Amino acid sequence: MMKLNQLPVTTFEKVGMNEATVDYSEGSFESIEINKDTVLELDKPGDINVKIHVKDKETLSVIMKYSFKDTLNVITDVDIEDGGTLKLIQIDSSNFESRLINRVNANLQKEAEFNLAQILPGRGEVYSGCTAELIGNDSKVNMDVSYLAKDNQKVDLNYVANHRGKSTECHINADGVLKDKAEKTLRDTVNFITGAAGSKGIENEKVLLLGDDVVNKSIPLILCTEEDVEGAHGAQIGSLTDETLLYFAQRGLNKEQAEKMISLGSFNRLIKMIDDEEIKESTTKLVSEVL
Amino acid sequence: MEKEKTYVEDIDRSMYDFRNEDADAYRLKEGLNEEIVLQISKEKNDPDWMRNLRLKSLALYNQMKMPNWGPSLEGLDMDHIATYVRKNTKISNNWEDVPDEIKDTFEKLGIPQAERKSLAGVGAQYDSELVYHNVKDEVAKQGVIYTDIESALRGEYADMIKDHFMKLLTPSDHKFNALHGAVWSGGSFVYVPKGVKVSVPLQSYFRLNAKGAGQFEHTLIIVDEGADLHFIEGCSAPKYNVANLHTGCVELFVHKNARLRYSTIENWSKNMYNLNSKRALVEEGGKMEWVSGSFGSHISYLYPMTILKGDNSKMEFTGISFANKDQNLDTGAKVVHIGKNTSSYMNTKSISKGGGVCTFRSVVKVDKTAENAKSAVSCESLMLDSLSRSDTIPAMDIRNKSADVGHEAQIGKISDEAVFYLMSRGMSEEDAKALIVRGFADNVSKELPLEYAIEMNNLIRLEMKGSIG
Repeated sequence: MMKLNQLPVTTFEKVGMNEATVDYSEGSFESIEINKDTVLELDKPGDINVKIHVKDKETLSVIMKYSFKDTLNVITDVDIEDGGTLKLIQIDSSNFESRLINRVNANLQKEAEFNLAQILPGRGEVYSGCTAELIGNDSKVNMDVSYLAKDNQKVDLNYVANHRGKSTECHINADGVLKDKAEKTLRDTVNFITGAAGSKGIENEKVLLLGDDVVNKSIPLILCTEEDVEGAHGAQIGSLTDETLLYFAQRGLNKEQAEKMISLGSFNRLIKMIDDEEIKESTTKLVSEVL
Repeated sequence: MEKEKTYVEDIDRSMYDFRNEDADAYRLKEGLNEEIVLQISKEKNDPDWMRNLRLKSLALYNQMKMPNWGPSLEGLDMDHIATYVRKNTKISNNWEDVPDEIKDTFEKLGIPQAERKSLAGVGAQYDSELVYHNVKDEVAKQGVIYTDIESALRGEYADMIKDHFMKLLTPSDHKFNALHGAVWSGGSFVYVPKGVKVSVPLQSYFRLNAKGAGQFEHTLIIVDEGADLHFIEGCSAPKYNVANLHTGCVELFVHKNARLRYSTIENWSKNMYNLNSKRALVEEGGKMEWVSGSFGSHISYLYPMTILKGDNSKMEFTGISFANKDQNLDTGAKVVHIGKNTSSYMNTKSISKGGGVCTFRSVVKVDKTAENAKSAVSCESLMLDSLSRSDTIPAMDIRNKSADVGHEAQIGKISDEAVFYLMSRGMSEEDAKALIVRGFADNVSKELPLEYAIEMNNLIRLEMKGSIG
């Protein structure tokens, strides 16, 4: 069994959120190096190690699109040098009976910026996450995920921002919809390490519960050994309120239409970040079909 | 140049740190084995079922693992803990019958004075046994039972005890509940009959005087239908250079439309391992309120749990922790929503300084049956230096789509904007900062009984100099 998505600090064992276990054995990794704007389509199962290197003050945009059967295990190592910026968009468009293991490890030097969007409307089992090391002063990471889980689907997510440099910033944002018997676990951690003075970290989560048998697990951590920081977390979990439904009803939309529109909205926020028009269109279509 | 820091004064522990010699105390040898457990059982003249529960608990203790999360328990060695220490005295309902040395101890802690002024009844435990237990006549006349649990175990409430004892907190829950089941001693039993509202609080105070000893009191409270009770628990110990252990259990049964407020001020010494368990079961329309102040202990694991079994039942938890040097206070709360239209609210504050560690750890579970459950969790942490640590670890497990669950957490230093705002209205910088820090704890302290709020304010006496941050 493979263990992944571990919490940096464990909690009550009976809660069952400390880590995920997957019945999978990693093989030898195929290595792919990226150092320019790229669209990478991965359509076969296997173990892939993607290495993205962003040089001093360089700006890069990378799209990774997954459509595969069986298990795809992707580790993406990101290095962003001083003042560099990376926009990385990962889209899971896999179908049933697939399993995605998608991990990003990022090192950010001085004034580096990393914008990660994970768009997860795929139909299979998903284990996804990112650990960002904010090493350089004034470095910044945005980790944004949107997911939809339905039927018996399982989605397991883990995002960690380790603030090491001074005046570093992180935003972790997770929006999702759970239908039918879907199960989702979100672990997100803002970790202020001694020396990260002047840093800020914000975690936000919104989950729309639409199925009678859904299971939603969330564990947002803030760890802190530095005094001069600001950390905040907010989570809202539930179904659409009567007031929201009334608002839509007054505009001629019934409950189902309202739920679809709200769900689509959380994906659209990330889809807008896609530069490639063709992929933008295909992703919009995919999300619309799945919803 | 290093920034000048606000000096936050240490807690003055002199009123707790005095100690008595225990030369005349009966003390079982250190360690834990069947012989010791059977000796405790014999001392207490246990009924058969209780002796069997102790032995079963010991077997579980020996099988179970130490927790693989939370603060390190490496400094706790059960081979060096005496599980039973009794002074050469018997329980009394008259302070004059309590030996001078023990009476002096509780007078220094202000217990008899509080009883006279503002309490409906008092239980005072010294090491492993209750030494004083009394309830005011007018409260007893209402049918309220407040007695030591050993008397209840053998008297007319024996069946009630048997039906409830370690049924809510079971020895199989975790290693330290198993330990409690094996060696428990002392504690209180409260029964409030249907419809009776006890207008002033009852209080139990636990004092662990003996060096290298454990205290394992059991508190069992049943608040019957429509009844109302405020129960206060206080605890302290002098400091020694070896580990002491507190592993109490508190089981609370809140019946239909009843209300129970359970307030705790925990002031154990900094050599104490406080591994305490508390759990409440709330029936239809009932309400459980927890108020918890954690100031003492070397290590604390403390997460009062509420099971909202009945429809329309409610829970509120208000807590504050203050961790200083050599302290790792891992505290929080758990709630399980089972009934329909249940609601829970947790509001906690923590302050870390001087290398102290505060962790807020919680669980909110909404079962599939819990239609229209509402839960809100709010925790705020204040870091006063970068030697210290403050973590928040809240878990949510939601299995009903009609749930409405919110969580918010904040961590940081004193806001410069707030200081500027107050200064722009004429306050000095120092006064502004002092006000903000005091205000940080205010919504918790106002939930405490007055004398405890004063005690808490004394405990967190803040002397402002320079600037925080």
